[in-house]
Amino acid sequence: MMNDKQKEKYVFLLVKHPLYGRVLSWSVLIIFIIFLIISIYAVHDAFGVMITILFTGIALFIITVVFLLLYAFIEKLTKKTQNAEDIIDLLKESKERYALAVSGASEGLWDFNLKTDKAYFSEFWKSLLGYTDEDIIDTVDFWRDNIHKDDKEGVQQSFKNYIEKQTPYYSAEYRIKTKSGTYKWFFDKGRAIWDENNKAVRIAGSSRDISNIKKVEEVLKSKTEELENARQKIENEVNNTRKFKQAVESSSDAISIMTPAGSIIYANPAWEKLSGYSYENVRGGQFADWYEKDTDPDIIKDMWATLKLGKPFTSDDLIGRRKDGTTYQVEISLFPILRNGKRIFYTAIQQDITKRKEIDKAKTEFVSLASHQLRTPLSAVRWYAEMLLSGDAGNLDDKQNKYLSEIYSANKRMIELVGSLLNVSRIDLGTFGINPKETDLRKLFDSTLSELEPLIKERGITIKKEYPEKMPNVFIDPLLIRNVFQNLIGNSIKYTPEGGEVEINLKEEDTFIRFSVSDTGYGIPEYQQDKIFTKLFRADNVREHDTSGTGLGLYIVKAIMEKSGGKIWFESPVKGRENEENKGTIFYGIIPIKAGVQKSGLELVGAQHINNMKE
Amino acid sequence: MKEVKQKSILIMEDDQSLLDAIEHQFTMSGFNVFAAKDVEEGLSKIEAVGTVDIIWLDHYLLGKKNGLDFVIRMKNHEEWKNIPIFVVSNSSGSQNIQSYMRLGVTQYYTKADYDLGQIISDINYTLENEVGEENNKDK
Repeated sequence: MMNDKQKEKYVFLLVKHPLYGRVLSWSVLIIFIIFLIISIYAVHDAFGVMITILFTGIALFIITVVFLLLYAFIEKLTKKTQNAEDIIDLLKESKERYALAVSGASEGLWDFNLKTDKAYFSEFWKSLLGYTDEDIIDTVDFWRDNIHKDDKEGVQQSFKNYIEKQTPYYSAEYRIKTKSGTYKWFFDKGRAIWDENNKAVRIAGSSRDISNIKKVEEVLKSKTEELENARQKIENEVNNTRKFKQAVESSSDAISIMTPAGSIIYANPAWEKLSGYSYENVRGGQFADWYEKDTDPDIIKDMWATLKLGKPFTSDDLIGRRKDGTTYQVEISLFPILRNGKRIFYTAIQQDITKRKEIDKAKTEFVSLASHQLRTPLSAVRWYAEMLLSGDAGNLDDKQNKYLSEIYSANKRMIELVGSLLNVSRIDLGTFGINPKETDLRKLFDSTLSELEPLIKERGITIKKEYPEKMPNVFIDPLLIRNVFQNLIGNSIKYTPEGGEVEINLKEEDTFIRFSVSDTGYGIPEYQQDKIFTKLFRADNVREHDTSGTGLGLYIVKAIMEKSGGKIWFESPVKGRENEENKGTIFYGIIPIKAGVQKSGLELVGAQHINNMKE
Repeated sequence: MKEVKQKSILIMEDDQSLLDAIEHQFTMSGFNVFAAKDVEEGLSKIEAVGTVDIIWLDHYLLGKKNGLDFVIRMKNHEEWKNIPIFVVSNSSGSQNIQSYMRLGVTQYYTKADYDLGQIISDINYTLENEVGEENNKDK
């Protein structure tokens, strides 16, 4: 039997289908009319009734036959129609599918006639370039003209390769101009149709808009380049870091890194050696723990305060304690490492200076002891001569007085010489250090002048002073600079004939104070001026007048001035005295107002009170 | 008439010839002089008389202890910590000088740079001022 679908078709054919319905209806009508005519003519006798029945029978027979025929062929008919319908449907479907596929794959279609140079471009193809279907684009030339000039040759080559059958199909990547003038990247694929002469007559294919892909490609390319550069950089950095790490690991200085809170996060092998602790014990420990027990607490305080301000801290007074209890002294340099202004950790570099300090201490002790041993007999001579001269052992006659005075002054010179030699030995041994304090240079000059008062009076020297009203204090060691002033003024007084003049000048100049001590004295001969600051040197002209100088004073003065961050020099003759017999000398000195002088060490000691009570 | 009490001085000096000169001069100036060559001797001498008015101290003394040790002992002593100390020494080295000053000695002299008379007159000056202060306090 027929299935539902076929039943449907059957009904359709019978009733709805125009052709078959018409045939059927007309045949029924004709038969009915014939029946009617015959019945009109033949219905009044029995023969007529027979004819009527006969024709009715024939009519029914014909109708039945028709139905049977229809029934027989319905399947075929419905099938054929169905096939045709199906085919139309399928065709429609496939067309839709194809259109979908093509548009979904973002491919436009093109078809070139290589003989006529005419071309077909699908709606989608045109739309890719911003053209509507109304825009007439139908020549191969259009396509050629719109290819980017840099890509034309490549496309031609791809074309050629395919036509010459070097490639299985035609493909090319190129830029093509859109309606708006910008360029898009197309990827074409196509196949040709050949004629009997194996010549390509027609070529058709699809174009895909790969602009986005190309963009991605570009980005990928540049990102890959970036990555490669970054990788190179990282490799270089790693190598550099390795170098630094190696340098730090093999350094003989103890190097450690700490968090801002003072917790040690790294210590190199030299640190382990210095402290006597292994790295495991060191790591995570508090840096200050190693030093707090034995170091001056003021220094520890100073250390933390300086670090809090983000400044570097240096000291050679830190004393650490080893695991075995022995102590060691270090010269330490602590500094913060900043990132974006924030302290991220501290680095400490330490040098074991225990030995050095011991040697320094030994040197100091030596000088101190030598000083004591040399000076003790000198003190005895001085005081006993003093007692004799004051009549302690009885009155003296003139000769006795004279001889004793000679002994007394010779002894004093000896004392002075020993003092200078001790200072020179400290300079040479390098155990000469500075203790700077804020000092008013005017007061220092005045105090020196008052000390030299007896000598000034004795030689009848006039002292002139030129001090500024306002002057900043300088940060210098007052004992040492006093020594300088004593020397310079003392020299001026000694080497100026009686009644002469000594002038002292002080002036503030920018970042330093300039002073000068000038006299109307014998001056310094030009041919000997280069030796003035050397040890034990005395110029010929002063040796004539006075044999008592040590020749060490200016050597010491120069050392002090330079250690204090200043400078000393002189001029002789003094300007305006070139034609005088006593050409005079002027010594200039500059002292920086903000001195960055070393802190620890030992001092040169001048011969004076520390606090002069009588002031 | 006011009674002028005789002042006493302890001289800590290891060199005999210098000690003789110093003792002589102070005696001539009217002082009651005590002398010692090392720290222990010095302390026991003060102990024996109760107290002294002033001390002359050299840095280098006999034995292991030096002037600094002596000053420390004096400054830690309840009764003697205020006795003025004059350090008169030929040893140099400002480390020492600073240490002495920090411990609170009255004055430091480099021996060879001064006449004995100068030092004695300074000592008298100090004592006079102190006495003056004491007298003022009494009033």
